Amino acid sequence: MMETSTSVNKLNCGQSKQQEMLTNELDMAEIVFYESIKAQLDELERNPSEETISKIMSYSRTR
Amino acid sequence: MDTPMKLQQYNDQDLIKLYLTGNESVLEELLRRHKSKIYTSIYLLVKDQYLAEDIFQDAFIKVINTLRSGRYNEEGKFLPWVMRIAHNLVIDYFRREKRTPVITSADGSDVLNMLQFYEESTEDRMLREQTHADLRAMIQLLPDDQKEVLIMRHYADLSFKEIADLTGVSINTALGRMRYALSNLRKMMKVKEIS
Repeated sequence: MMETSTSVNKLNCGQSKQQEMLTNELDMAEIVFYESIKAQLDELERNPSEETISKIMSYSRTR
Repeated sequence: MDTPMKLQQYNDQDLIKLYLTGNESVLEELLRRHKSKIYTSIYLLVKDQYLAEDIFQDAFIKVINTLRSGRYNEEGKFLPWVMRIAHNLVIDYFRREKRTPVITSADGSDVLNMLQFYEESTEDRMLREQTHADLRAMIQLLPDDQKEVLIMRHYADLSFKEIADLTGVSINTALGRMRYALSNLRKMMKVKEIS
């Protein structure tokens, strides 16, 4: 698949730093779509088990 | 000793300095702050919960060793640095496995996830789980380079500059991959809606 160079599309909508950064780098249609699926993507977020965190903390204490 | 409330007010660099003075609770705060971003990124790349746990643990062991040995470069940001370590461990894993597909555990749902939605009807829960499974499957269908950028951008919260540095490509290439990832996801969702 070919990869293209990027046009810069600057909008000023008083967004958060993260949104502002995205706005400067993706075009409007891409941002709208990304915003529409963000919540769904967020729902896939997960955390390591407490056991793993405990092992890391134990290792740190021994060092 | 610092209370958790106080530690939350420090930035990562200051936390690392505190950690090096022997304050162990600092590591807990760094983990609390970044564990989800790092773990989700690893998990979506390797598609296996137990493997993701191992890689996450190995990444932090490297982090601890590097910090303790005084080899950490204070100029760099903590999260992109840990992501680089985790990313290299993922690459090492795939090299060892010669990209043999990883067997995914059941549907990936965990106990906490189920507890959180205990009041849902069975139908709603099944629908939600199906939606999650569909989205996960769509992400997995993306070409590796696109999937990698999407995961690092969304879950690890890295900038395109940081992703470019981490994956050894130009910023424009990283950005192009994100655009293709979004475009492909949109197409897949359309097909899913139609079917």
